[in-house]
Amino acid sequence: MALWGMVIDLDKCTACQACLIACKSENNVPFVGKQQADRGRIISWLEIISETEGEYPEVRTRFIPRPCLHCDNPPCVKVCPVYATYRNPEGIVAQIWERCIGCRFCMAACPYAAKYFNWHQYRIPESMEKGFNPDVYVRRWGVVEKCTFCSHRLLRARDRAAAEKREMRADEYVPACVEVCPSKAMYFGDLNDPDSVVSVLGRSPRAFHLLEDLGTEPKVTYLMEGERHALL
Amino acid sequence: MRISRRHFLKMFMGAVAGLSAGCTDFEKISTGWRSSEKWGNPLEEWIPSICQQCIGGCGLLVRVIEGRAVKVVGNPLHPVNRGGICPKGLAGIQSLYDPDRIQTPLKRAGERGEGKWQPISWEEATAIVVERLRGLKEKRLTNSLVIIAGQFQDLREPLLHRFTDAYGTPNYIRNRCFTPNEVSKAHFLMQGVTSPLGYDLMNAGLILSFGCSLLEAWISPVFQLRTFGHIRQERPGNRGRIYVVDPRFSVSASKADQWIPIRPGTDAALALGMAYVIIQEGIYDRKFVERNTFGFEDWTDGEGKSHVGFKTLILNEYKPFTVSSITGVPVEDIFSLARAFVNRRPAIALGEKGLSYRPNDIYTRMAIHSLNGLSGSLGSKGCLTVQSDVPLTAWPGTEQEESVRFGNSQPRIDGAGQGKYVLATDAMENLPGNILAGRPYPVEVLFLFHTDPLFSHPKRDTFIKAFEKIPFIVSFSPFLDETSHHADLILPDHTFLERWQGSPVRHSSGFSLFSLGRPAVEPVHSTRDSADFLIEVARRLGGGMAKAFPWKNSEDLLVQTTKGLYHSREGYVVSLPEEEAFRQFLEKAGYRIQETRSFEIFWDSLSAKGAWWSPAGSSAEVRKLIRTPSGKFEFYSNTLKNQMKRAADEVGGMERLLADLGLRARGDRLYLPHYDAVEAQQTAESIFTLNTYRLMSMSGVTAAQPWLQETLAPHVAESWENWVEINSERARNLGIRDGDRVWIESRKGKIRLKARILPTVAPSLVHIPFGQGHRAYGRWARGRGSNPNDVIMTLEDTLKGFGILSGTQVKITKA
Repeated sequence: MALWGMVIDLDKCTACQACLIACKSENNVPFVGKQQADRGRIISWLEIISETEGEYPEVRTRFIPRPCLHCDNPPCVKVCPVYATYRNPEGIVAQIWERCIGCRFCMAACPYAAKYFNWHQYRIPESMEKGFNPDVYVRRWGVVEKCTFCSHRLLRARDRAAAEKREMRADEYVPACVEVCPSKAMYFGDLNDPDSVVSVLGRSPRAFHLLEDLGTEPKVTYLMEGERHALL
Repeated sequence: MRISRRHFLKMFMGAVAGLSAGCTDFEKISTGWRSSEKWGNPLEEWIPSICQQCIGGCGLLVRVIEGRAVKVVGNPLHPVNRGGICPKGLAGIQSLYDPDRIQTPLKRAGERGEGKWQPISWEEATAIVVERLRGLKEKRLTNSLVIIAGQFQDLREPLLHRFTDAYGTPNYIRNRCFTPNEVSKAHFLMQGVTSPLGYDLMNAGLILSFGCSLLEAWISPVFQLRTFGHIRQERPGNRGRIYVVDPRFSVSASKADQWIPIRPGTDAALALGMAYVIIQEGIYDRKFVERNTFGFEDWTDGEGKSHVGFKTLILNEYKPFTVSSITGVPVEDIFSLARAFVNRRPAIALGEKGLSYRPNDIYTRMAIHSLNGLSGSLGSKGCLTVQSDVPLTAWPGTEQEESVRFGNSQPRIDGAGQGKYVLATDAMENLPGNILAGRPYPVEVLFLFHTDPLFSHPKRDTFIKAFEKIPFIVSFSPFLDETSHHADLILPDHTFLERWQGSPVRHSSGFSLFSLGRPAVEPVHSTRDSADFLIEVARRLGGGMAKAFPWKNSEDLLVQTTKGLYHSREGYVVSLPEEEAFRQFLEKAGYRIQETRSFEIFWDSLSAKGAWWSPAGSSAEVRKLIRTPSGKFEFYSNTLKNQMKRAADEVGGMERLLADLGLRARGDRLYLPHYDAVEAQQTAESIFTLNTYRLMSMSGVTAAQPWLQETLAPHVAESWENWVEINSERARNLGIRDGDRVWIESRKGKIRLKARILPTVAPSLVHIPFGQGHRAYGRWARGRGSNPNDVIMTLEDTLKGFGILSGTQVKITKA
């Protein structure tokens, strides 16, 4: 069975935010409006975290795109009182929206702040509903939501393969963010396959994980900026 | 075993997990689709289209399910973006389904700008326009039709131009910062080329950008982002370097190997200081400079008069210590930059279409381009290349009646190309003043096409007054933007996902490319493709007009025009990279596969895949790149000299011209790259120099797209409004804290914005991004933040007549 993982090469990433909008478009993520945005309630399954060090003119800014890291040891799953969020056998930390009771324990537990709460039933003008992706559910208010690695795409790919009576190839399943990345900084694939691009890149000396010491074992690996083979 | 609730849930969950992995649709949802039955096995289609959110020319695939466009992604076959796409492109779908789109043609019912409209039929609207144009024609006033067109990348550009040409008016005026079909002035003056050049960035060893926002909003954003990824990690052992010279710590600067903060407007001095080091150390490309350049050494002309060469000028005036004190760049950085530029060849210095530098703009761009001359960065791999033409079928010639020729021979209303605007192809700065004064003649009809000058131009107030003088204004905007509010008739265009598009893309990469987009969905409202409308109007006007527009509609236009591609026997419809590699291999061996047996099959293939291209011609010989009178790369620009002579004759003497232009240089320096001191900075506690910039998410048309409004920029977490970036220490001295509201006041006006205190901002500057502050343009855009154009003082750059958007002195006070 596959174990899905992602690699993000920060040396290629340009912080353009295409991944973010691709995610919103694919997953029917609502926009919340000015008032809610000012209260920090924007829902964005993938965020670009930026960090600036120094003072003018000696400054440095780092940008890190952060989807849900799909931890192999996910803290959010441990705290969910109703088993709404779980790690599925293929490593995707998924969530059953309708089961969520909105207690937000998982949001508090996630060290990466990758979970978002629907504070309201966000309504958009009827004409814009036409742009919804029919493959993906629209979450209602009071529910926590998060990145699913576009698992509906996995289902579709698997269905298609089944209809064609063949095995699904790993490259048939790509999340929306990886699909559109203009600088090709994001990679996706099967971590159980030692020859997959994510496994190979994961062994790069540039590879690191976010907050590794917490023991969450995230399946999103980052490659730090710099020369191809440079060591720390 | 007792089955607890927990166990039950676990078992149930396992089943659900297998079934749905995170996206369940157990019941009808309260928002979104009412009928879940409709979801059963939807047929999806992927339709190729072209992105019009900026002029980058990316190929799109639109996912269409039951007639609805539900997703836009990059076309993986398209040579510009290869499946990648930027946030603007993805959000295009929100403009298609925007609830505030204009749904039918509208006729003004109340006073101008009052906002009262009466819906009319397309038939009536067409009749009104035709009658007006016919009336002008009868009065021999065809030249009083003015078309202002904005920033787009399409065959509509030559179509509009043709319309003015066949009707008999010289007034096709473009209001834009990026002119994709126009050559960079520095390339024109120093290389004599008249069409845009390409940059082989993919193979460059070093890219030195002078204020070009390479990773944000330069010519073709996705192409540049792809290039960035490529040169960073996809060339093993040869990681490309990027150096960014910019007063602002942009995203490009933060991703670069080195950011060189510079005093605004002094880029020319830095480039020439680098030239000093390169010349002094003798590390320039001697072979190239000796063989292919003119004006490097001192020289004597035919009349025996001696002239100063580039070398002498540089060695005398641009010593690193002098340059350092002008630019604020440390001396050692000037040395290291210059050496890196030469040592990491192929190197490209980019100054084209960057930020507007200051009134010395043209000389700044020449100074930057002179670095390319010194390092011989022309005509080889990783350097400047020829942008080859697309072999489209030429449109039938226009026979012009006497009255049309008369109209066309009239001077342009904006004065571009004459006198002090000798190098300008469009002079929007001059337009409203001339309209107001009726100089050289009054304007009777104005067409507004994909442009919103009342929002995007600093001379908003003058434009409003000027529009009052025009009896009839037609807007083709799909949205009720600021300028459309002042129109008499609105003929809403389709959005780009609803119409046929064809675009000979100019994307700066060298290869020639033609993109084709099919309508992805049926028109949502009763709108009409403006190209179809123009063809219809031309047909009704009859005579030479009808002959110049022989097509049935825009689809027919594209079919006829792309026949040239099929018959050219070069290039091919895009396909998978593997297929293309094989084809190129065969071509190198001298074989060519004729792909399709008939044009019909070619057309089907083109409209299914979305683009045709000819990858050959990426690197060109030097002589193709140099078309100057001397046949050489001219440090001393004979072209500029000739142009200025012509202009001097028009205005009555060189001294008069130079006074008009405000140029201080005299003699040979006028035709050589040089640095002219910028205005003295005021120093006071609350005075700053305003620097404006563009975000990746905002291209002028995207403010009405909520996704983009919530993800404006990666470096500050702001949404739904713009902000002003202030240096930490100076803000502290003024008592301004992060997030406070402040007034930004210039001599022209004042605006209120949220202050963001950032350590990256230079103490003397404040930065404001463009794109917000709409007074109209629908519910998502209206009233979000303030428009920096309201405080920008109107200054023009020399010779080009383009408004300078940075450099205004502003006072900041806490609101």
